[in-house]
Amino acid sequence: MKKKLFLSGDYTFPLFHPLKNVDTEIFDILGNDFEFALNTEHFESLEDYEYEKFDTVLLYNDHWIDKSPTVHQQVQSLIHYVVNGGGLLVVHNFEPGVDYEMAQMLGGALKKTLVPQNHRHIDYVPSGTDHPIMKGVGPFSLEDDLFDIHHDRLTEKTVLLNAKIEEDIEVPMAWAIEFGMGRVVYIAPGHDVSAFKDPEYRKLLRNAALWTAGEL
Amino acid sequence: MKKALLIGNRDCAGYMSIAAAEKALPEILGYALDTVCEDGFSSIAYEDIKDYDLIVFMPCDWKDRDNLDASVELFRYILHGGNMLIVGNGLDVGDRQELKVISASVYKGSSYYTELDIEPTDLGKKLSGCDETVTVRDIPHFVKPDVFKTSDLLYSFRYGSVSYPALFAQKWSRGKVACMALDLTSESICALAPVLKAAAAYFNS
Repeated sequence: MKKKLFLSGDYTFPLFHPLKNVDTEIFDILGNDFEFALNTEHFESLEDYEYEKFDTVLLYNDHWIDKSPTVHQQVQSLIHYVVNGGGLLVVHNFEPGVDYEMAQMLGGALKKTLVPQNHRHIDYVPSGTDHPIMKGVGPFSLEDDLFDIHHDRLTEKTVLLNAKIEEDIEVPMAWAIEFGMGRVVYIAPGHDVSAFKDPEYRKLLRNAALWTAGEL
Repeated sequence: MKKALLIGNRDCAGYMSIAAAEKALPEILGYALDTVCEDGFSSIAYEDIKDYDLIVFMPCDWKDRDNLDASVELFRYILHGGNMLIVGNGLDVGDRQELKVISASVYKGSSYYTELDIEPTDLGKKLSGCDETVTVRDIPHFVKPDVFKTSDLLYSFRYGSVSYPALFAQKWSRGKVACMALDLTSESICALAPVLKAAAAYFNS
């Protein structure tokens, strides 16, 4: 029986990261395992959304905080859902981390606003953890955004994937957190549809979705 | 009359028990007080605690117990607008992330009984109604603030050459959480009355 996934992203007014075309890849990657419900840009409905109907939530919202005046209230619904056993997978867009309570649950926030020159060739390498999400996931390279992330030392996270900055410098680019009875994963790569076509990235995304839904 | 729930250990070798708090808190805060001890930790449920005006959380060994469900229930209490005063070893919750985030601090450890001057900030003076520094013999607990969450500092103490928060508080979701980095022993609790009153006033502000 398929699990249920709630997908949120932007079709109509994306600033940098349209859900269009990315959604096709997500459906392809996860369609054997999940049924989908979709929300795009009706953010006020997220204030008291019934996330409990879903096994996991995948956020690809682009500049969510700029589009709605009630993000803090919307975040509370998600936090409540996760702590009570829900799953949350945040892909690329780190705007939810602007809300400090969400940042604590996500394990970090953007240090500074995304700037175009951060888009570059990036080599991603598994961290070496034996976390089930990383089973079968190998290194890969993408043209993607390199985020400067402010990590929260409060939240214990299992780093899944690093970006190789220099020969001996790697920075975390994906991690998993157990929060209350729920599970949270953040995956930094995913700027556009090209990421979602990479075979290793697809494995990572699928495993992350399954783990947050309690399947791994 | 307001109601408070005290969560703590009646018997925890080497650490503070709730005996002094159980006796003194009703008089200091003016709250009716119920108690949950270690036998009842695992059965804490949101439906049973949601109507308390305040939870005083001061267990000495929470991190050593399998308290996931109870931790989540306490977190829900804050999400829904509750007030929690976390005291002493209650700040050390091990890997219970949901309780760590509401304290908005990283627990770094504690030291031995020593004389401490607990000094109010302007906000502490305003909320306690008392300008004076409180001198007690107590156990200092050391915390560092979370990088994201800004807390209001009400009282501090110096240990060596470093100033540490003694009482700090923040809103979290719809609730409020105050953290007291001291124990409440039979020796210190009455002297710490202004500090406790400042916390209570913060919840009512």
